[in-house]
Amino acid sequence: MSARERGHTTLEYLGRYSALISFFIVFAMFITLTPKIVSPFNLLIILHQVTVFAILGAGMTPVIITGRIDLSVGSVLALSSSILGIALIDWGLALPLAVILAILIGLIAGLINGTLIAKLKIPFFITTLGTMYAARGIALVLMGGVAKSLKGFPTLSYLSTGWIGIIPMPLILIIAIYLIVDFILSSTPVGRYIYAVGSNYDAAKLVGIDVDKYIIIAYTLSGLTAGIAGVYMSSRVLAASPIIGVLYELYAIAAVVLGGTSLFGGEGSVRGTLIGALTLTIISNGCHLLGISPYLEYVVVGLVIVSMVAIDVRMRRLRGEYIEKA
Amino acid sequence: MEYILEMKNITKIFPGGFKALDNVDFNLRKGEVHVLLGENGAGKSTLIKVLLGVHKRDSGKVILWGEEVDIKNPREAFTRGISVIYQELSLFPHLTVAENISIIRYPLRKSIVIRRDEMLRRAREALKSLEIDVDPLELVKNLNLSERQLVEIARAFSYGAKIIIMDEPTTALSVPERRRLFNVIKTLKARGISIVYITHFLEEVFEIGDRVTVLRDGRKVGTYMVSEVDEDTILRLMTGRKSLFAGVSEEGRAGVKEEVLRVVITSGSRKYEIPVYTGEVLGIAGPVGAGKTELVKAIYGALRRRDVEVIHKGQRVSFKTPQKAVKFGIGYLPEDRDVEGLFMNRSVLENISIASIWELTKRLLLINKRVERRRVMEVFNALSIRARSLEQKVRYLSGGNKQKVVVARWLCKRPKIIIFDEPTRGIDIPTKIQMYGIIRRLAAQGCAVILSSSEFNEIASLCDRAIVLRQGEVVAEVKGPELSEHKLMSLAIGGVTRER
Repeated sequence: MSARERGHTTLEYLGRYSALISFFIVFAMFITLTPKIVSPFNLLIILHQVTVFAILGAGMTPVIITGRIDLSVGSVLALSSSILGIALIDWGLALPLAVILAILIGLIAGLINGTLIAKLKIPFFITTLGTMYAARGIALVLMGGVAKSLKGFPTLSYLSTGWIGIIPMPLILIIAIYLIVDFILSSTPVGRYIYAVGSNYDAAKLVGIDVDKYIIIAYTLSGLTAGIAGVYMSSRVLAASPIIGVLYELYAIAAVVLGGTSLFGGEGSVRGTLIGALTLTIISNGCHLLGISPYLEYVVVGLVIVSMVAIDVRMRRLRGEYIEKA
Repeated sequence: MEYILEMKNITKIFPGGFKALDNVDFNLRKGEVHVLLGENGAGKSTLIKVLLGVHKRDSGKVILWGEEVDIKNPREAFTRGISVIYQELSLFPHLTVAENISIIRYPLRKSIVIRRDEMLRRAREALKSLEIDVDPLELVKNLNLSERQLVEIARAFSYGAKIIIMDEPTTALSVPERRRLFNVIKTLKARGISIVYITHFLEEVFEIGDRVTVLRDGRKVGTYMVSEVDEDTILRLMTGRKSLFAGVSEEGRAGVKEEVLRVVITSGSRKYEIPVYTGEVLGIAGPVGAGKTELVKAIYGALRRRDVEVIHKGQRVSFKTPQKAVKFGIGYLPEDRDVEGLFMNRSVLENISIASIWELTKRLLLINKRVERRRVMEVFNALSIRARSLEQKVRYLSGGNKQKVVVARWLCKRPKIIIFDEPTRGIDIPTKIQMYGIIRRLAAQGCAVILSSSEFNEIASLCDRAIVLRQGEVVAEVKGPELSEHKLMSLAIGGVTRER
């Protein structure tokens, strides 16, 4: 193997682990600034903070792998939370039924997104911008614009604050969701097709893939995780609210991108997204511990995202150049 | 000075040692149409690119107006009076004709404001001298392809080009549009402008050429006065390469023949029924732009066409989507593998197994990765694909290896029918020879192969039967001893109209 080829492999290697590398850089930085960050109590806080972004990111990943984006997840999360509240309080449904219904609402929202995009060929940006407004609006109308307390359903909080043995519930939730999505993406024909659609839409059609179907599946997954995230958030604060989750879609996209998934589609993994969500949370939590103003925290998050992606683009170009010369 | 342009002993060797041009001479007289004729890969475009400075020549010299020059890029060529009319047009659709004609040097007032009156005058003048009937105030996007081409010529003329190079200018033109172009060419000639005319179409040599230079395999066969040669001579000069197919044609032509499909093409008032047999290679021949890709895509369900029907055992099956065609048992290797065939940022493994992934899947949607690897490895080795590993991204492979990956994909799937669309375009000679072997072997093993190609020697050497296309229409069906390169070429590019 020539030196040049070896150089190329190293770059590929760095590329594959870019999410992990950026995580360790951020983590090392904050741990030297404030060792408190690894105290058991704080770790639990980090876990609670990361859960929502991680869940949303898990569903956002397949969508971004198809080369598309879902802007509606924050609103769908609020809609799912609202439906949960209404089902429990107004309709008096049993808790498990209400939870299933709330999650189902998310799934349906995703199905609608996917169908509009794949079948009616409405640009994904416009479609999900539309459903972002529509879902939020429906939630606000149904709830009359105010939150409902769910204090009367203490068992609901088990979902976020409970423990199974020594493992906290949110961790179980994250592990379960990530195992499933990772399995779909890496070990099933569905996953292969999702990557194929994102990598080259025309070629995917010409090898006989029903491209529409797999775009719909990706959006449905995203809607489903938004529904789960809505239930999780309601359980955390023991309230149903139509105004939660504002701008969360951007956090989910940021987690995916920090996780090394290309916005151009065709590559990336849900494992990376988990690390990306964690990086994002550590920045936010670390800034908080350091007493940095929450306003400034946004600036830090923005800087980290742009610089990580800039490095990634730079490395991709380097890798490409090796080939042009060869 | 007899020649305004002379290219002497031009040699161009591409990285990897491929000799694209070998000691080629070319010259041009004032006010003549000099046709550059040759098959794909004969070196026509390379010669022009050397002239324009796109490719750096390895040896030889270029003499322009009696003076040795070293043109570094197309821009310099342009300032020296050489303009090219490209196949893919280079106009700005949202500007007017007049603006497009003046775009390189707008007439300015106080060196900042565009003088619209002067711009319009210039455009009118150029269009009028060439007798081109196009409104200078029309937006270019409202013009058809032929009119745009004429506007490009007017632009070159308006900037005082002395040499205009046209690269296959008629491929997309209708008959009256072609006549219009030829009239403009004659006007240019009368005004002392020299034209280098690159073409596939033999008859055009006789329609507008003064002299013709034939290239073959990067070598110059000769330069002739058009008045002194006939079609048969030229055809013989262009062809004559058989060595690539040594051993291929002997490989099993027999085998069990069974009709798997019948393609019905309505071409004008005529109906062509073309059966597709297992164990046979069916050729679809025709020059670039004759509609071969459109035809095979229509068969495959990737393009909807009313005039193409697909029949199986007496029943109309005409696939609506490629998905249905694949399910029926058809595989398709697209003409442009980078754009339509490959998943560039996915691995070699995934690119190969993608078409057969469901067959490699166990219950619960789980891909059996062990079996997948084994199956992919088999075809990977059989085609001797050069890649670092099965995990390497396809993006990093060479052209020939990329093509092999697409072939491997279908060999892994093993469909009943495989359609190859220009399978050897832009790949190296050894891979080409390998591709020919694969095509014949597939047929020998009982697969039905459809081969669409603009290289007539491929069709002649590999196919059992062939249909010939010309400007989107079927012009003939050829089989048996009639299936020769010479015959195909005369059917596709010259003979037919002359006989009529």
